Amino acid sequence: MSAFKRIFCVIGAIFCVEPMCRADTLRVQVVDAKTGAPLRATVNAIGKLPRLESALTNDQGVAVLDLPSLQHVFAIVKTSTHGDRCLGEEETKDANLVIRMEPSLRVFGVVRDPDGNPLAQATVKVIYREDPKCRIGFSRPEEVTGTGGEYVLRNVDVSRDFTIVIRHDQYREAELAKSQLLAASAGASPNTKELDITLEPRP
Amino acid sequence: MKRPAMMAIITALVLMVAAAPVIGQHGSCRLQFTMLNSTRHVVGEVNTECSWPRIPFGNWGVESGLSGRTNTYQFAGWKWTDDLWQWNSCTSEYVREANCYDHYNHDHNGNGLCEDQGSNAEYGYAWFYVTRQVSCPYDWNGDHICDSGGCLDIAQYFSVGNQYLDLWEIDDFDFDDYIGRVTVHSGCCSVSFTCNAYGCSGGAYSPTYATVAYSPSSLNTTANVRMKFEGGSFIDGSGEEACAYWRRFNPHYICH
Repeated sequence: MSAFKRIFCVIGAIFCVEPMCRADTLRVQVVDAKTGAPLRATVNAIGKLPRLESALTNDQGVAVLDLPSLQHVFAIVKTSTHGDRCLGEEETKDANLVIRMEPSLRVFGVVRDPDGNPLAQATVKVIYREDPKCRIGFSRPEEVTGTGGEYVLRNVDVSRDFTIVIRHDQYREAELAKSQLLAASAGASPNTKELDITLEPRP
Repeated sequence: MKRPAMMAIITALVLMVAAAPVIGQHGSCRLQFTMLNSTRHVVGEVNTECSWPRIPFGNWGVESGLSGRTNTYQFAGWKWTDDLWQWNSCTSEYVREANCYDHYNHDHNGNGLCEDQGSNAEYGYAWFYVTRQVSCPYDWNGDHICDSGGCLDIAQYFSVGNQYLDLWEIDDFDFDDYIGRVTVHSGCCSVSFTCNAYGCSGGAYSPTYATVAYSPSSLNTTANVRMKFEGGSFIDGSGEEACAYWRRFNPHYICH
């Protein structure tokens, strides 16, 4: 940071005007890993200040964030089609990043009892293994099955480790590993999986 | 300065350094937040749920920088259908009406005809956490109360900027349909809270910010947005970096 900017930053800090302190720019381009096509994404980043900065990608898949410094910056790239990607402080030291992301999965199916009857009001949730690089994380409500036992999980991020947990008041909790999901049959559309689940009665 | 006085000062400094927290040990403080919306208003043309047997109502989800869309109550409508609060998602084919229940629930222009939709109750649309690295909780004066470290190391306020909400009509059996975008122009949102070494009290809210409709131009959707601080908690490190490890060697780490 130049001396001029540093003086501006100090004045900004005294009068609580954060933008006066902004000195560095983090430029992140987000593209599909296979095709290289630009992706619609939001990049959220946090440095030393207690403030989460966000920027949307443009038509070229580029998001630009103005930050006080590129030291100790953690970021997360969030998409609706390719999951999320955490960026640690070592990665964000580079002011120009290109992030290649794999398409996520849309998983759908029916939760049933052992007799094949659909189970309404079962909850289905993807629980991701924590990545120490992730200083910013998101959670979402559990999906609840409808009257036909149907559920849909959107944007399941296959680049991360996870388990799918299925719960119902009257049945034993079930857990499915990522490998079980990947082995499930493909749905009719690309990047979809069809996975019916049978819950066993409680002992 | 006389020699005994000098020695006393040096001894005190040495003792302070010896008693100080060891660099390298640490934990983290995790802060959790919910983004909320309320006072939702939909005026204008929506044309997404016009060809299905269950027309015209549909549930709207929110894709934002902090959330993925779900088939829950992220942007709750006014008509209770299929266990969800839904919106008329095909206003292009349903004209204004006198009866404020069938397809609309609000008389925006005050002309005695229902022609728009509103829903007030507050619901969460995004849930996120931020983890900050902190030093170990530490008792400097021996009263067993932590004076520094843990969640005391972090600033007791937090803000997010540039909020937008992309609204989607959720279709579990097909692909979701894009409705439009609302944004917060005034900058959003800051919340203050209080912490001790082992956690921060939740329940604080930011001020409420009004969104403006961004796109498409044929639809004027608005809502209020605010941020809730759900609480913070100290998470110890592991191995020789863990505070629990250092408590065995230095009683100053034992505090509450």
